[in-house]
Amino acid sequence: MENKYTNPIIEVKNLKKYFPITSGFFKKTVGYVKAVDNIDMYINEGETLALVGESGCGKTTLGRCILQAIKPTSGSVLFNNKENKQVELTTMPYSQLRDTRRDMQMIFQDPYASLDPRMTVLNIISEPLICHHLMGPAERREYVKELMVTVGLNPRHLERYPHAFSGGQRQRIGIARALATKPRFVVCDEAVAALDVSVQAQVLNLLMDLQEKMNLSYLFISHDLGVVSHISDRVGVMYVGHMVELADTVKLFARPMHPYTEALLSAKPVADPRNKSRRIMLEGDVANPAHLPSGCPFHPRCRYAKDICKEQLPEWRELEPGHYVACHCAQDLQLHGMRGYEK
Amino acid sequence: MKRPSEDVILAMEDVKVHFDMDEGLLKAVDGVDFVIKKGRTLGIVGESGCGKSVTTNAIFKILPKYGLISGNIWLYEKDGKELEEPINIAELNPTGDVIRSIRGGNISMIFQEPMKAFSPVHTIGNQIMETIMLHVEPDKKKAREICVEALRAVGISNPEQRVDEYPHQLSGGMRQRAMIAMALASKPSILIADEPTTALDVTIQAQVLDLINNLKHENNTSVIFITHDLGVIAEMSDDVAVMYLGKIVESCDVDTLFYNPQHPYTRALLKSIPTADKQHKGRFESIRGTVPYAMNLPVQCGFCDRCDEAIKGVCDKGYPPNVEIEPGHFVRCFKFADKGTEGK
Repeated sequence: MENKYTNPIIEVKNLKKYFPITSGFFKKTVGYVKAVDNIDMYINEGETLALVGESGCGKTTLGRCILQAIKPTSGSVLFNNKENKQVELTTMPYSQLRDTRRDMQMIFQDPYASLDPRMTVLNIISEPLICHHLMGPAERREYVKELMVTVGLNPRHLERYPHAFSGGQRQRIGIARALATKPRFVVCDEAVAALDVSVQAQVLNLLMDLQEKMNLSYLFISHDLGVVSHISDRVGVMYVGHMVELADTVKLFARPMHPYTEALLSAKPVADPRNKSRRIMLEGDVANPAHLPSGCPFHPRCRYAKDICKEQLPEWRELEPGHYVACHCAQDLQLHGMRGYEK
Repeated sequence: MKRPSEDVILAMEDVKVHFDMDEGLLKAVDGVDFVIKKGRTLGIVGESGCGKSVTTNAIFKILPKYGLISGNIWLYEKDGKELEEPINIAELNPTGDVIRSIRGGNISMIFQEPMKAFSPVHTIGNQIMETIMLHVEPDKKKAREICVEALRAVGISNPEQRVDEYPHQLSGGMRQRAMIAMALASKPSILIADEPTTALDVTIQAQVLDLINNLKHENNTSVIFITHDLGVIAEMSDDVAVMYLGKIVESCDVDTLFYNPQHPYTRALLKSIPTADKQHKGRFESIRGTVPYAMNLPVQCGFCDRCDEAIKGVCDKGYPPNVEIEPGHFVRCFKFADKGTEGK
């Protein structure tokens, strides 16, 4: 499947975020937690790029670094703004960044924690508009009603408080808030993880409809491979701060090139009792990002590890057009994909 | 109550758990029947708020004071021996000696969040030894040995050292393993696993599921596995009960559930699940609306407002009967009201 999107809206180059570990009275820095380490990627306009990985692998930090909600340690994030000009977000002065943020929004994971219980729906959804001085009160009210219809809420509930809504409805409020400033790029941070399956499907459908209608680009952070396979055009796999593989969804699921991706795909329980999956058991736990193993961070758990893996950090390379992988042995391995994708 | 057959260890008979609250009567569990057979896994699946956890908490008798439990929960075996008079757990005093000897001894439980289930101020070892000393071996030294062995059996490395560590020193997967070690240390005949892997990552989940399956086969334990993940159900269970609004709407063996589901809710649930094994991108088939709140519900099929096949004037006029459409396959739906013999 050829990628039909070509115009990058976000380009990330060598992005790093190290959180210092301090100790003692003078808060001396004794080490770093390398939450995001040397990441290169791009997101095209109108496409969905999914980030998958286990908890603590840096998915959320990467998403926030792109939005400049957390200042990255080094690297660059280029954003293609409304005038189709590439602007550098990491060095942008605050006033300008504030304006640019109209085009970039975020949908959060927990619909219970991300809405202020003391604000009405009207206040919640119109807050971004107030921040950006976008409309007068009367106009705002009408616009919020329109937005509520768009995301499938009843506009009569304008004056209600979040506690009166169910989890799925709350997530819709969060989505309406994110869309209020008509953004072009949205980071969905585990946007459906807290919802029940039947409601999850509704919200995912809504996200896809909105993408079509408003030509949105998503960075979809998730740990659920099932959701990812439906919603994303391309998938990036992260492991303790490193991007280990990035490719078209179908390619990645059918023929992964990184041993970690293979293990991740095999670990997902398949809803088919006649076809129990052949799991690859990963030994031990995820590496500690404060004390990474030498060389490839995955080598202590890797079945295919060689000597070189213990010494050298594998390079991030494009092995096939559009298929990036960071593994010394990628070209020699024949890895299994998800069942149903393999031909 | 006569034992239905040799391999049945526990039978639920029309069990209801109602919460009498200021706002009204909340029917969390409303007439549940099932049996637990020796060495088999019963998977209970359903969305949040459907009463999965309350059902098993009723077996464990750990409901809040205002939870009224009715019906019968028959326990036929205790300490590996058949009881002459089965014990009705539903009628036991929740703080009495009998239930305390069953709880943690014959029936153990693995909770969803290993961080919340362990006490943060006691070591893992002390907490596991407490169970062992109560049910298996009163001597502290020997209990410690059993505890170390139990930790080793669940794959915790260096158990002699881990036994003296506090829960915060272990990772999520390790805590859940310690939890399993605690539950299995007393060699229970029934293990209740309440969403044991929901808080874990897929790779760790795979390890934990494997562990539960291995231990189950080794000790011939019966397992009640609660989850909302149909993938996990397919991997783990032999029989499945689908719950919706406090009732079991469909129960059958696992193969039938995935290949011949009959209840409209089960079918819709199976369709709405994002499975990675089908190669398609695009819209999900979702169930419209949300699960209603179980407070003061009208007398009707709980699913009829969301059901595409609901018959007006029938589905909203009473509770559907539970019909055995094929041997062992029960469906609670008006569509099948005359298609088989009515079961309990």
